[in-house]
Amino acid sequence: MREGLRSAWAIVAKDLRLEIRRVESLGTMTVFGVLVVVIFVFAGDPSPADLARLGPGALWVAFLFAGALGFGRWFAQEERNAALHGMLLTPVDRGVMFLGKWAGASAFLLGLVAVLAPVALTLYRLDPHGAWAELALLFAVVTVGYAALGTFFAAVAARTTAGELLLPVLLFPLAVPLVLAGAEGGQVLFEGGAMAEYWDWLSLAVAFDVIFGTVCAMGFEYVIED
Amino acid sequence: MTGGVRLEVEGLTRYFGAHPALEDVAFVLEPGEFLVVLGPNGAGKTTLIKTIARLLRPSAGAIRLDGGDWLSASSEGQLEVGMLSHATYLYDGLTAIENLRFYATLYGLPDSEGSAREALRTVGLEDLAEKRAGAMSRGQAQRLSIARAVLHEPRLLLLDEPYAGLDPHASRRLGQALERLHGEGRTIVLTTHDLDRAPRGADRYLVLVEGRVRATGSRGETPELELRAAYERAVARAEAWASGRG
Repeated sequence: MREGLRSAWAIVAKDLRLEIRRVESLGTMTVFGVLVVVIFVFAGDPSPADLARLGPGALWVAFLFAGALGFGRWFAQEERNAALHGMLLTPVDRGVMFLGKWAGASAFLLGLVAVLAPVALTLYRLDPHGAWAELALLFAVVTVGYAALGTFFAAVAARTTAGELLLPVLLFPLAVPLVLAGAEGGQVLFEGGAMAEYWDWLSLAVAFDVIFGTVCAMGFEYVIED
Repeated sequence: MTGGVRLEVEGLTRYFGAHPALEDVAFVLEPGEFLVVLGPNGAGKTTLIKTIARLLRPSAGAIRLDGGDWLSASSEGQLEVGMLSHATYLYDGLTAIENLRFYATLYGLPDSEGSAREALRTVGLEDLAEKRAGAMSRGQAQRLSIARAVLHEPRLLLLDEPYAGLDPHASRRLGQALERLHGEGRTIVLTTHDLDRAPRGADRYLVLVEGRVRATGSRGETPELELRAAYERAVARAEAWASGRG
């Protein structure tokens, strides 16, 4: 167990180090995400009421697209020099490998949310009515779930010839429940709605994380082996 | 002295779809023996090495390490195997020491920093510890890759076309490193398509063409010309058979 966690942490640290050194990846994702958020504001000359209604959805759409852009390259670093084979030659359990890649992707995406969310909140004039902790929790849960899906399908896409095209096609339909939970749960907070409704949406996102995290971890072995 | 394993390969077969990449391959290596696998491109050499390394599952056949069933052994068994290929398995964005430290951690070595430094010293790259793998010459990267492959002191070393892309100087250095590793008693399997790169220090040779073993013999006792003739005969026979089949 301890050895597994040590290996998972080594994979997280390696991935984050590589991503930080390759600034263009994080930079491109962030700029792209911000652009999507901004475009929604200018599309159709929305009123302040429209903006408040559009805001949570626009934020998550921007997050989804920008995240997919990053996932496309997330696994490419394992394919370069066949480095993935180097990892597969070690005694590390494939589930632990997934855990490491997943945790790294989650940290990476949380960084993206940390930039996108303030921009969206400002532009769309969204106010969670003091429920900042609940909003942060919702962001974290949705991000972790999306990272699980993204890690898994990035591995699938990296091993196919049409990977970059295939990734969004595989990823987006399955991410719908997460986007729904993120957008609707956020809307409840921004409209000062009943917290019970917020918890329902959060529970949906948590259930998604648990189910897809488990399934992806179990299926990872079959995806990464030749 | 690290020592080697006894490697038995029996009826090894691997299909990709309907195409057999390996067919009924069999050989036995005693601990410390060095086998060179010769074959043209597409002969199945990489498939053979990857299957022994457990990067590929065979369609049929058995592999035994020291008499134990290797294909169903626990993942801890990977500590017995080191693999070097023409691909370095290194991360270009990490420095030499970071690459080795990362692999040392995955192999569960207690002192990953110490093991990484020691491996760097062994391949003479201690001065380039902080250089990124992506900025290294092909020869330097291959030496770093050797350090990665032997970091955990494996008893079985699998080398898939390790000379590919190396200049004469780097090839000579690799040859010296292989002699040293063989001298430490490790069991070694090396594949190459180039007869001139078949190490003279190897104990045995095996010619693989279109996934089948076409010839075997003692490397030391086979004169260079005879080995070349045996290789060319095997390739010609396989080609004649393939054209007859077509």
